[in-house]
Amino acid sequence: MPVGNGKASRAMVSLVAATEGDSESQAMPIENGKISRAMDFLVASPAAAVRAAVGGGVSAVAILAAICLLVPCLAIAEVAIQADVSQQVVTLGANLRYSITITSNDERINMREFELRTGPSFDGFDVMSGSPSRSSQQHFMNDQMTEKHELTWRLIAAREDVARVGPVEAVYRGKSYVLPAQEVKVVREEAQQSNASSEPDLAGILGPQSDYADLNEGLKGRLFARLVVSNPGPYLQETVMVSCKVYLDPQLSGQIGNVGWTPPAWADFVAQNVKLDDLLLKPETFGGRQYQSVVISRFLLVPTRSGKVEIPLTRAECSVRVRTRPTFEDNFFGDSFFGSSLFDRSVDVRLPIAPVTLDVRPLPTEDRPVSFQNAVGNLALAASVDRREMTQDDLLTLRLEIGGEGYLGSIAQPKLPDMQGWTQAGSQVKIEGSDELKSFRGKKVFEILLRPEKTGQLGIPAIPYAVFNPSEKRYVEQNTEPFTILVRKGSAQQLIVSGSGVTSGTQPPPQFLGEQLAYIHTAYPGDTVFVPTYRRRLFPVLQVIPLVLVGLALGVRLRKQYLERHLDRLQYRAAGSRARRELRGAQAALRAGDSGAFYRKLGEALRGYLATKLRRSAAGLTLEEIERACLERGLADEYTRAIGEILEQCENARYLVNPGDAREMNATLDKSAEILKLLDKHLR
Amino acid sequence: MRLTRIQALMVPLLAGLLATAPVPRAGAAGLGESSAPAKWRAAAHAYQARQYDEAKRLYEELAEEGMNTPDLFFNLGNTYYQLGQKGMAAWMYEKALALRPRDGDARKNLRLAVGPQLDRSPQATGAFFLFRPVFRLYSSFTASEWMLVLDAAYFLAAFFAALWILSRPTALRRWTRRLAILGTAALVITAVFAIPRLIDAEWNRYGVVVQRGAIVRSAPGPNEPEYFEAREGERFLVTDADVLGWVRVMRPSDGRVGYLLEGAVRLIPSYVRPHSISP
Repeated sequence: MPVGNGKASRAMVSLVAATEGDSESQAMPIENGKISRAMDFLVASPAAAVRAAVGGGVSAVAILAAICLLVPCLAIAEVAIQADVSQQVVTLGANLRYSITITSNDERINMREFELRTGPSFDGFDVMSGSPSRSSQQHFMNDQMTEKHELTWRLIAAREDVARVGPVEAVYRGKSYVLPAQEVKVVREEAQQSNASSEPDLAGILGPQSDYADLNEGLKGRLFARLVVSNPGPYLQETVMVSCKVYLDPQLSGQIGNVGWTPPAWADFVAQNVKLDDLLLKPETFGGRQYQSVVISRFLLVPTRSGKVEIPLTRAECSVRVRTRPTFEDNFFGDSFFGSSLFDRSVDVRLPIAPVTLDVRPLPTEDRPVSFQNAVGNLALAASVDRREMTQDDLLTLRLEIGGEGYLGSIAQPKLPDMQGWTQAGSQVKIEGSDELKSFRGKKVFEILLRPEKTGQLGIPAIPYAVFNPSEKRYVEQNTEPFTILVRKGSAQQLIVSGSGVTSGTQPPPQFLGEQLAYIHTAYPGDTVFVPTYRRRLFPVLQVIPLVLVGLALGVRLRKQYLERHLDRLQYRAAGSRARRELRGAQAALRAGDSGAFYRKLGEALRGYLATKLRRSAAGLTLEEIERACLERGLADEYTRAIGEILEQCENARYLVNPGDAREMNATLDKSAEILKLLDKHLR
Repeated sequence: MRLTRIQALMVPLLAGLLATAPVPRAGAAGLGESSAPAKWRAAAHAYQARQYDEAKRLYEELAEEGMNTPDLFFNLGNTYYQLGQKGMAAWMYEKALALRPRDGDARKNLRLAVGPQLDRSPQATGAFFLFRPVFRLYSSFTASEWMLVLDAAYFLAAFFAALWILSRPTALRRWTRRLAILGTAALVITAVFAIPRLIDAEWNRYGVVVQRGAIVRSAPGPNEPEYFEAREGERFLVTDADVLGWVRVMRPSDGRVGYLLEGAVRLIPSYVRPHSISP
């Protein structure tokens, strides 16, 4: 029986049938599960299987072939290992993957018991990553689990030839698996046209700069940056996209970080930064060599003048992780943490970017429509109104939207044609959009307010608008749709006022002033100069007055309270001056020849003084008390007696017709003054 | 003659009121009594005869000679309006309103000049209805008037406080105390209006866009990105009046800040100094 997959299956069926004693009639359908069970049975009784095969007349070759087929099937029943490449033919410098897949249908695979004894070798290829990447999957189908583990190496074809990947000897649970080498044909790549407009040319690329000359030399041609311009010959006001791209040798990926770029001042451009979501490395061929590239910054530029416009020299920066010691050998499934990061350090590297010159073409002037208003791009104009019926009191909003792709900032309002029956009452312009790029891909909206001048069916004609399309290199004229608006009469009246406010036969006829404007003020306002209150010179001074007022009131009140609280003490202190005042009064009475008044005042002076000092009422103070108090305070006898005599004299003078002559009264007065001085000293 | 206590207290109050009376224009005699009124009449006649250029010339001469009354600015505003210069008209109306906020004619004409979109009345700006009378009250008086009211409340409060301090503990003291408290409350309430108004008048400068199609840019420079278009007659808060030939402005309605060319904006000072039509 010829051996082939289907035939082998039939052979197996025969074998199974033979073991059960029926050669042909009990053929079992071939299904995975059934075959597995058949294999188990065969394994359990190989002698029976051989006997059945021989008994069935199957040739020895067929038996051998079946056994050869059974062995891998037996292997599948435990673990299957195979190697694979993603492509059989690659171009020089292209990527490909080499994978080793371990599959098991029945039992869990313990990868710790897996080992690569030899290989794989990658002759003719550069390995992009040290350790292979690993992935695991489990499938459950028809109550059966299939587990798969995959190890993948990423390679770059480095030599034009037939290259070999492998072979590999793998060991799992003591069992050896040999995976043959895979051949990959590497052919020379064809010249690729890059996305950049300028021809990739490593000659125009500036080398990296750092503080280490050997590092610079090592990175030359492996790490650089350049500006990619979407269109080096744009028209004036046409949007151009400029991207700063960093290129790195795939072997350097993972060692470059902190990438940044300082853009120039954009002197001749309107510039808008484009936010980038993620910095993703992508493979790219440049100058005949494979790199990993990443866009680190992107700008939308609109040139503001024509001619040669240069984006000057700029610089990108990055840090490069440099290994200072060799790393440990990586285990197959070990990680390289202890082998690399402890001994690396970062070095700042500057990547100069050569200037880029744009040849900005002016917009063509011939055949330029009158309705062109600086709209450059793929733009369209649409018009709408907010109502179709209105009264004369209302205002109509005519909305003109210009949208599409192109810079909206410099677009001016479309020129309105003759709007018969309408007066423009105002306008507003805004740019609508959902992100920071709305000036480039949003909508510019002009809202024009129109007031109807009359009633009836008023038309708004189509508005022509021309846009210069850079891709078509021509002006494209568009027209909006016309509108018809029904205007009814409003309630507002026209104000008509004459010059002086009074209409008479000699006055000129009432003048129509238009739009209800209030008339001028005709009365002469006078020679008045408005100066704000708070700017007059006296104002700050006047603010002090209330404070002074309140201060004074407080002062008065406090003094009053003080006097009330300390009345006795004050009176005590003032007794001397009061007495001297009374003496002066007595002197005046003496001069006036009024002896009665003289003695009265003299008595009041002394008695009042003594009453205050002794804290007694003057009315109840007796001579004996006075004498006793004076003696107690150390006053000499003669003065005590003198006080007594003077007081008695003053007392008696009330009753005497001629109480004494002037000389005596003078002497008495002097004596009293002397006594008062002494008393001041003793009665403090 | 000795003054009673009450008379003594009234003297400073009267002095304060007298100090705030309008001042006759210095140098008015130098100009000649006939020149200014004659020009005024001539300008009114020219306006009536629709000779708006002549009217404008005469009114501007009066302004240059030192007249700075709201009526002059109002009339100039009308003249500019008739000449189609709505931005300049709005500027003049704003200047008139700065000196006389309750001028209904100026408000009405300003609304006509700038359109309903730039109406700054509380209803138009969508203020909460309970706040509208407050806003109206606030904006209906100049800073000068509010300071006058504040001063009067200040004097009254001080007067009643002094009376209360001096009066004996009788019914009079109770009543003077109440009056003093009322006076202080009036002072505080007036200050709530007067001080912000004063700050607004003295520290905030406003300007009016007088140019059609003026573009507000995000930085001072002709090539800087456009931000939005300012409408002719629109009022802005000027935060910096001299930025290399540009003016930094803020739109009060939405707080947007940008730069306008100097020539596109005219300032509105609250105190319009004489001898200058463009301060």
